[in-house]
Amino acid sequence: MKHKDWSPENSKWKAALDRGLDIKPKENDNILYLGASSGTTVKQISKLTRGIVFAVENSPEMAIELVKLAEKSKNIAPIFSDARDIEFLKKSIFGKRMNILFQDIPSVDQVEILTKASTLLDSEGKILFSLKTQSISQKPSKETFEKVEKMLGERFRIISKISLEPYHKKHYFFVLRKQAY
Amino acid sequence: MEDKDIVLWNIKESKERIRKAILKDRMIIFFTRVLEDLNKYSNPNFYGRMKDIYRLLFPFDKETDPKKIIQKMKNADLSLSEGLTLDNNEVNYLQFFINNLNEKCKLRDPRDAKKKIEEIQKSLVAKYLPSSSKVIEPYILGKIISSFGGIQKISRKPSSTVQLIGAEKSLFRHMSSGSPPPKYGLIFYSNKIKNSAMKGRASRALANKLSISLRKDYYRNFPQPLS
Repeated sequence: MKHKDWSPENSKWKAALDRGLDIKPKENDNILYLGASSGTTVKQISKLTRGIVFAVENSPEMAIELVKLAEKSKNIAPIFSDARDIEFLKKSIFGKRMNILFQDIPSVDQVEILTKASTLLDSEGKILFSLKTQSISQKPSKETFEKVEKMLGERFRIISKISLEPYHKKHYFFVLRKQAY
Repeated sequence: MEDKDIVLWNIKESKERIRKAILKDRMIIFFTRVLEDLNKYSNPNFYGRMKDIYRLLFPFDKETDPKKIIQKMKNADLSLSEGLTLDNNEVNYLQFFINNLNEKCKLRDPRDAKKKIEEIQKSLVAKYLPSSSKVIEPYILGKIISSFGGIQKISRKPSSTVQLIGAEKSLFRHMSSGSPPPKYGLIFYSNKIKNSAMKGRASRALANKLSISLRKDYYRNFPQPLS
């Protein structure tokens, strides 16, 4: 098979990096990655850190690919579960300190999933959130974006936000922090 | 716990959970597709189908060469697979199919084997979809499920969707250019509709019954997804 580089078309994180956000994991960061799919981004991220990347995926076909990838590398822990099932996630991370939470789940309740999952995060941790407005509402992208931004502002501290427009249509990217910090 | 142990625990746990998420309707779909091949061609080869069933039974294996896959399947103990769990009967069904393949991956005597495979498909459908198989013929039921991609997906659809599975082309033609809408899809090949005078009405009634019975079968006989 042909080797694929880490291209912004295939990865929201890489697209955000190309658009000028400076958010890379530090050396010993643990990462909770919701919506890992077959692990294109997870593979690249796991090379940058020595901590564990917990990759959560709900579809069996994609999770099979993810498990195959995890068997090859040393620091990917695949979790076959719904991202809404916080109890199981808590059980499988074994009380590790989570430094980064990344979410890329195109579903209606993506903000609720993020709010729930942020309870697993360390109080100083960063939240990276990729928002697909189309899956929340069919209204113009900007309207939904403003609505979601308001919702996020009540729950988190917004560090930066950006549109991923040329690479991913109707996608936005947020960097957030927990409010208490 | 150390990092290494956490990773290993998660890999093991995910494998176990994935195994539970692969449902038995895959077996029905497999044998229906084999039958479809046999109806369409005189003596087809089954390299692609063997690849499919291999991926179901051993999903974490990396083998891609079809000839080696067949060798592995012939030698492997099917009841101890990593993926789909089979009971004794199903192991026998699969082994009958695999042992009947020659070195070119074609059936040795297609006519006899086809009869046996028809029986196998019938018994699988009768076991896992008991109430639906009373409504419609097992072969057509298998075709409908295989064209939709699984019992879990189809059980969540309304009966109007079940009625029109297989008539997508004319449905979208109707939606785009306003030609008359389709009345039936794959369901048309059932004898209940073929022999009736008012085919449109009969197909609607049959689809209503079928969608209810499919839901009944799914929630009674199949394990629900985790969480």
